[in-house]
Amino acid sequence: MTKSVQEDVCPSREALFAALEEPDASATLLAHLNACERCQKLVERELIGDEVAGELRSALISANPPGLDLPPGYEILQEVRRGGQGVVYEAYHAATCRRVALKALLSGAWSTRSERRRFRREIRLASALRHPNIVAIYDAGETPGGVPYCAMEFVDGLHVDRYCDGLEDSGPLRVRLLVFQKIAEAVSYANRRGILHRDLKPSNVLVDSRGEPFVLDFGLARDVGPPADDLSADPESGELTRGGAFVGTTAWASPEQLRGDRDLDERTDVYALGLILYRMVTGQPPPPEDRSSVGSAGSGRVPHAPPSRYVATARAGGDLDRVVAKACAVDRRDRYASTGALAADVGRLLRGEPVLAHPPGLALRAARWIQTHPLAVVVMMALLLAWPAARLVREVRAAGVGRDIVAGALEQLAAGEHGQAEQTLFTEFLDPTTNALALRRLRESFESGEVSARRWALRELCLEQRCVAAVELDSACYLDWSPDGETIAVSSADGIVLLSVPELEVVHELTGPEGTGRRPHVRYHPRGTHLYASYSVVSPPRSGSINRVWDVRSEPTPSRSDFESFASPSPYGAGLVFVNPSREVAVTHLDADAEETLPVELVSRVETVLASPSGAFMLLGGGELVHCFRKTANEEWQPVWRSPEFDLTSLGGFSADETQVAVGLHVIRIDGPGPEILEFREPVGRRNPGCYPGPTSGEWFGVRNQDSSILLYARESETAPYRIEGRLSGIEYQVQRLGYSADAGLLASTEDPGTVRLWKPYGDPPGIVGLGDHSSAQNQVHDARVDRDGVITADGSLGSLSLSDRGGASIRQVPVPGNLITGVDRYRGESTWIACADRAGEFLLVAEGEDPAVLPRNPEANAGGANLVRFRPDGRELAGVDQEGWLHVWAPPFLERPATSFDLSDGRTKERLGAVAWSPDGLVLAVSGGEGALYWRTASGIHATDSSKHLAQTVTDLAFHPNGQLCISVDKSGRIGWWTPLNRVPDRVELFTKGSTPMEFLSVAISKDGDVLFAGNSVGDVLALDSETGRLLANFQVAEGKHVMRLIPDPERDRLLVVGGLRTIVWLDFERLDRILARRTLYWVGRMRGEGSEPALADEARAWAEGLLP
Amino acid sequence: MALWMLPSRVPGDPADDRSLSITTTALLEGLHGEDSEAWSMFEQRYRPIIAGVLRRMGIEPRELPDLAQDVLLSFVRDFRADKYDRDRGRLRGWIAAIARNRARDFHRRASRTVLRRGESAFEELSAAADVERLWDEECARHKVRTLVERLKRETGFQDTTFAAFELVQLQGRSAADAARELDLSISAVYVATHRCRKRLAELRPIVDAAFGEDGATG
Repeated sequence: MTKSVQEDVCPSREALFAALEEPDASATLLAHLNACERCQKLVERELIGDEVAGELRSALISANPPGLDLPPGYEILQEVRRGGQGVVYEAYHAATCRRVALKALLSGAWSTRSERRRFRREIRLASALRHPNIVAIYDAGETPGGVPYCAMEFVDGLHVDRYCDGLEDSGPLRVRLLVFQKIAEAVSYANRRGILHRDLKPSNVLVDSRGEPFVLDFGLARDVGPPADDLSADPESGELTRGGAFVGTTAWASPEQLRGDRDLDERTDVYALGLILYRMVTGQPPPPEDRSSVGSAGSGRVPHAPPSRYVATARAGGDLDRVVAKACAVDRRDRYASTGALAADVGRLLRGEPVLAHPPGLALRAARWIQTHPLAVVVMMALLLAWPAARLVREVRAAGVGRDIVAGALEQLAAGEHGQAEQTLFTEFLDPTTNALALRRLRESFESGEVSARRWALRELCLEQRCVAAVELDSACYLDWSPDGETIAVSSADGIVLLSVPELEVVHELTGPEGTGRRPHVRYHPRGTHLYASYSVVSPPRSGSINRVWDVRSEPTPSRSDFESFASPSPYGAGLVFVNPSREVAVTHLDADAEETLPVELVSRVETVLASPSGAFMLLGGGELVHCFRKTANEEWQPVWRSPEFDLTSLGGFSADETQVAVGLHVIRIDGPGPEILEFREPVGRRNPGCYPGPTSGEWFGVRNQDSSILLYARESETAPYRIEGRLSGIEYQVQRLGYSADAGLLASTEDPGTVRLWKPYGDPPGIVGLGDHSSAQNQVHDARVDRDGVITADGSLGSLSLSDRGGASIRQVPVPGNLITGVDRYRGESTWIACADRAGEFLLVAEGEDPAVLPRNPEANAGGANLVRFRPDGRELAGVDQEGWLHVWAPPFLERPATSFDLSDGRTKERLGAVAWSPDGLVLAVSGGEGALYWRTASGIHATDSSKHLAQTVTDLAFHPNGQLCISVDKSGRIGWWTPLNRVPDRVELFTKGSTPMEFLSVAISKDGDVLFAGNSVGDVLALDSETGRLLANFQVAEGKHVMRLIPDPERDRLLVVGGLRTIVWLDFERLDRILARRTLYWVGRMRGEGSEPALADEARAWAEGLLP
Repeated sequence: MALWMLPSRVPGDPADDRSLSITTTALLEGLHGEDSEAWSMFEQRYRPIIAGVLRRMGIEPRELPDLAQDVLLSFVRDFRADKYDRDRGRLRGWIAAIARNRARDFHRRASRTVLRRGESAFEELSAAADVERLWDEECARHKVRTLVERLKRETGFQDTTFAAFELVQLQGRSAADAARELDLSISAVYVATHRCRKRLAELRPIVDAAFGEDGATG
């Protein structure tokens, strides 16, 4: 409907705004508006010049130095660098409270409209890149002065060439290659998305202090123009300029760029990467391009005879040489076909495998593969040695490989398919639903011979979400897994649909008998051959259910006549058991209409029958009673008990061992003389809840609808109450039903109205276990100690200490007079002492059976609030630090002699946190002062260190290695320091960042065996690092967004108590990680080897693994 | 029936849909309860405002994220210890008081370490009422920023619709200028601007409701 407008008559204001409202229908009017200045003025007065626009503008004003042309909303912190292309600032973005790098391009560089359009397009493409080694683009646009800008992740680092120059000579090649591999993989990632960099050079790659490279300026590079007379090269930077505008960098440009070719492709980036690799490993700039060779075939500008340093460092020198030469071939057809292929070859170099640039024979490759895949060996050893705990987890997690995939790869390895095994390891663990695109790309790159995306894939895996797929169905309700785990049957308003796993695509739709309702109760027969559905009929005179059975071995077809029952039948042997209209318990066949009654002594009005999967138990419900029968050796049904306490109509399912059954809210033990309702420590809610069996007999899934979560309950022992072990959230509606697949790998849920989801219930972090009531404590816990007597926690401002067992069950509360207890320690020797520190007051000592007493301080010391206390391991001294920066040391009898006190504040700014740690032999006490100061206190007094030069901020925690030879410090500026006790300088310091911001470390601990170092930060991460090398093994996101205040190892078990800030106190349990991993691996190994239950699988898997070894 | 994947959220994104659908009152409830997300939403909502207030009190931008975090943590500590009584005063007053103390501590420390930055600016703003006024102003600004960020995210910051809006509304360029810049007709610039403004007007009550009385400018 085009509105008719006479062009020479101006339309009314209303008509104009109506046209803006519906532009598609108002072409004529808009054409008038384009031409008529009067109308434009009218529109602008209202649209642009009003107070709304004024308000918007004033909100975005920042206090920037005058004269700078900057986008609104950003505040400049400092100029980082200025170059031919533009200027880069470190800036603060008020709306998000984050630090960014703000790059404003020189107006000359993008002066024409089409160039600016292209800039927008390029930025649009580049901002879609999300890769850990590519600097993220947050925002882009133009400044008020019309200069294009973009805001990027701020990376504090060095250009990659300077980074390499700063590396020590010894053994650096591997480090260089690892960094390069990441760079090449990042470029490959972008290339695969159709984005070329075109201006790769060392100054476009920053390496942060952790050695993590970041590629900058994707999409910002211009095509390099043809060499022309007005080009002049700046001898310093190698940058070409044309009338001052940046064009390109000859030193790093490919021959085809120099020729001015327009059809650039990935191989241009391959060339530049080759030169960067050359620069990184030789420390020398690439030789200048010999112009005469441009366009001709040749060996490229990289000399085949490598410089000396190159040879000295490279054991695989020949191979490395070939890789660089292949990447830098003058004719791009001679180069690697893609940046991914280059990255893959560098990966081979790193693993000591033959490179593609020089393919050796197959036998050698196979032999090297086995040599160089320690992961596979680790898994085999683990199988052999019955899961030697944490080491396996660490290795597998460090490699980032999915648990089940390892087993699949092992099988291929056994079959001699080494290449296949590697592919499996690196591709299969990508979840096909969440990573369909990624997987396809990865497969493609494998098919083209590139294994380049491996590391990228590993990182993708780390981002894995627990909900792996979801699909919307109208009113999804009942669900059941096919026993082979390949299909889920779901009843919905559309009838029954069979969904494929894991895609959740509809494979079949089944319709029920006419005149019946929808959303039937649907189940697979455990033998997998049939599916049956129970449609409830409520219209008088009939009531009960009509049941239909389908044979699903091929196309689903009804396999017998529909039959009536009360409630839903239950599988029983090869058939179904149900209550027939005569109220008898009957058994029927799946394929025939035959029916026979069971000799069960009936109660009046029985309406529901439930048989356990093996047929050992049968529950009959009717009226207000539930009857339990057990099958005797001679196949007779014997009544065991009856109970009026629960109602069978909302059955969740039987536990794996058939001794428990979930009914509505409760889990009930049925194998005793009477039903026993089991206790849930944190009960499932009351609003439409339910319980469903978990993967093993000790685990249950509970649905809590008031906070839209599915909880996983488990218990530590037969007698312990169930506790929440895990939580799946992100659910939008009320959960209806849950069911886990036979291998326990996936959990399916339905929501009303409308969503079916697939979950990985054991996704990360699987080993996090709440410490009983403490996990929901009403208070902030600042400190805790774990010893053989259990756990003692300082409950912040509650004014008490909590003593509990290690399961979290409270033993007692000890009231203390403090206001804010921030430190606690217990010493157990001939007598038991508890010491605690009140941040608002005194150091206190609680002796067994006595009231808390104030520990006397040295009268000369300032009376700062007490902060932290630690007993010397032999109990012969007690150290405490206060808020004024004083260290106090008491000796027995603690209460009778004032402390020896030391002022460590040193006139510096006093910080509220201090740390103190005793060496295992008690001879050295490490203590932190203000602003990065660290002291050693020994029998001879206090020894200062030069720590402030190395640590920027307050040391927040300290931990000694069990061997006493190493002390670790963590601080608020993301630095972890490795110290040899009593040394003035750290052995080394590493900086850890999250994104571009240094982590704020608050806590540190070392594992019992001393191998793993754990560091907790202010946003809920617990990093696991190799305590020797500092290599990051895993990052456990334990308490998202919360402070990890202390990490306390359990002296008796392989686990760590994580004391978070706001009411988080959990175990990070490595034994549990092991168990889960072991179970999953066992299952897969078993599945590969045929049928069998878990214990049998373990033996078989072990035997099988033995057969694998030479 | 489309298979869909769950979108991954960008933590700290002020334009997060869910964070706007929860009122401050509900968030405070969440801080009492077990809801682990409540804290991050609370932080996301108030950290930039606190940072804005601290900025106006003379704190260097570099220090803002950490100091603002400290203020929030202090508040939550008080809150959980039931020291904060909503009936007695607004959230605004409570947090603003903490911010004022923190800024004062910070300046004291800074003056001891001879830096003395922003001291005079702070002295002028020492009265509680002044800080609350700052809070209101910063809160209003933050709400507008949240609106713009949300709009930017909805339209995509590369899209010409937002670009046109940004040029003429946020940067005050003329429509003709913007049209030339973006290679659009003038009327297309108007249409884009009109659309964005309409959407902003729709979003505004959502944001206002989310912030509740503590977001009120009065």
